[in-house]
Amino acid sequence: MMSNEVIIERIERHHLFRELAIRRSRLAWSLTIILLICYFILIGLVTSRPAFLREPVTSDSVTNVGIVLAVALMSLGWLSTWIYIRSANGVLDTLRDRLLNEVRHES
Amino acid sequence: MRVNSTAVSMFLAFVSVTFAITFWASRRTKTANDFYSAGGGITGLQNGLAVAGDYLSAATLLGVTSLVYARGYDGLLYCVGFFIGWPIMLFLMAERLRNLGRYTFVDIIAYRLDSVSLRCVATLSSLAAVFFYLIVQMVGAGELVELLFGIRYDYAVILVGVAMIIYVTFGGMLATTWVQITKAVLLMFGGTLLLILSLAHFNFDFETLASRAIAVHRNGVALLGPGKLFADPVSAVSLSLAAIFGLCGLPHILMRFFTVPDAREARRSVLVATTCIGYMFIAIFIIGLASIVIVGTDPQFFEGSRIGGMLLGGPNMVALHLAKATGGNLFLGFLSAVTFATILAVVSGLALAGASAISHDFYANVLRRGKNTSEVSEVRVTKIATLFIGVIAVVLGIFFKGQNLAFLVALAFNVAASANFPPLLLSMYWRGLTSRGAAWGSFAGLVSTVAMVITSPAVWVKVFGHPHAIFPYDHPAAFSMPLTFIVIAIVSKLDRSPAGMKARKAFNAQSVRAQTGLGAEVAMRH
Repeated sequence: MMSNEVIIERIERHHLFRELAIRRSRLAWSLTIILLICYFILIGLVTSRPAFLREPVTSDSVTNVGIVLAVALMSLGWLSTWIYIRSANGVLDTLRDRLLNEVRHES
Repeated sequence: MRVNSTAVSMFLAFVSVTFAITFWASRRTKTANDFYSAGGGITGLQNGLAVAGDYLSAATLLGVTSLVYARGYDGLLYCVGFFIGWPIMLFLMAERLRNLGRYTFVDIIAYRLDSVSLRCVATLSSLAAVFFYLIVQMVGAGELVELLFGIRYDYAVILVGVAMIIYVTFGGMLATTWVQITKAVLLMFGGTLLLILSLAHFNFDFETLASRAIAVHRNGVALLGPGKLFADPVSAVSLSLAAIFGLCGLPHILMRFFTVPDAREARRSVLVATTCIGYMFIAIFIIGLASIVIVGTDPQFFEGSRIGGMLLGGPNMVALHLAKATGGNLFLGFLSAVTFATILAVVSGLALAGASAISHDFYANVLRRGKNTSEVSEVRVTKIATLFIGVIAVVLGIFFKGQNLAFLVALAFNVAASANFPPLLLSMYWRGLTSRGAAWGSFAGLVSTVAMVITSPAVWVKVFGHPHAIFPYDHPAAFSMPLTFIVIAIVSKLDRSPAGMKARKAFNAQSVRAQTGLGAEVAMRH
């Protein structure tokens, strides 16, 4: 068995580790930023264009743009959660397993 | 409201089941690891339900329904704000929490920054967030139980305190988790039933419901558009930041991520929690609108039978009145029992988080400097701490009787967002962070948040009765959060101490573990 420090040092320098770190942070930060931007756009509309949010969706409905956008934002939040988990369980975990395998067998 | 025998018997059934769970859990809780994190043996699904349970407190069900009842669309916006933190917690934190964490979230900050002053500050800010939240729950519990079960306020508060102490001291995290799961399932079942029964009045058609709500509400069509709550941009942004990043700094929520075996299960927890919370928030919006039509036009729910006057039992009773209107006394009893169960479960989670801050962060790592402590003594200290927290919570609960405590929820979320979240995030993402920076930043965040909330309209005007507030916004996060980040950045940059150098150097090893989970399995089993 190799010591933990040796393994950690090898992982640090491994090209797959860099790829894993870059991919994960790209995915995480882009989803975070998209979600925050969408949320603050809604808040921006609430504070500056409330009349737009009060517009009915169709001419004879009482459901308005604001309700649709709020529910859509929550759905987007859920969907991005699902997207992240799918990638993390798939691509990212596969990458991690490959990395750990290669590091353990390179001696 | 008369004493409801269904409510009492269903509540007693819940308490017996949870005491049985506690007994079962107490036989499996031996080590410190069992006590703080249920031995890491909770699955993603279970933890997701427990986390959702922690977040969906009685204040959510009763408070948000009443917010929608009074202000319509603003209530929905409020839900969106308190929902959106969940995906962000997943993207930035959930896996790293699992991979780096052990017992408390402070362990993560201290992973490469072990210093006594940092632990001290972090203990203080954890306890602040926990206690602010806890007092609200205690007072809410007392009022609710007095109203629903006819028990005197003080006795009700003592009852909650005793049950909480029993769950936590005997069953630790395992019991607290299962009590929370039981309650989460009951709450979602009750919420769904309320949703279905209410929608049945409107042929399951949202348009019919919305148009009738507009027709009877005093705000008319404006009900479904943005109102006062988010009208001011600065206060809207500040409330949003507190809601989103407060979640990412609440000790009792963060602690739950140490109960799952690996990062994969941590992610799954968030998916389950997000699904439950999103569903319940949308359900509560619809329930709130339905109660405008069903409760708001029924004289039996108003004092002196005057429609539009004071609601019987106060504004927070909307959801329970709706339960009575749609499902009769039986359903009212059920929902009352679920609400009380919710309070018990949430206060237990909070007490455990507070007790671990005292025993693990303060006793073991500050007083004993991480040396010369056995797990046995640490667990014993947790139990004593729980007892103290329980007693203090009961005393404060009785002391704050009848106060409007909305500002305490604001305090809890703003302290979490301003004092806990920034050092936690930076410890995982910024190489340059040093102990000194984290400690000073967190302290600045805590002090500024408390100062701004005390001088805000909610306290300065409404509690102290001054004519004008010194600080104009109820939520200070838009100011206190950036302040924390700036203080952390400056102090860390200027920190030339050997400890600071060591902390920067240790970042690589930490990031390997954060990304791969390597070493986390070992930490879990030891």
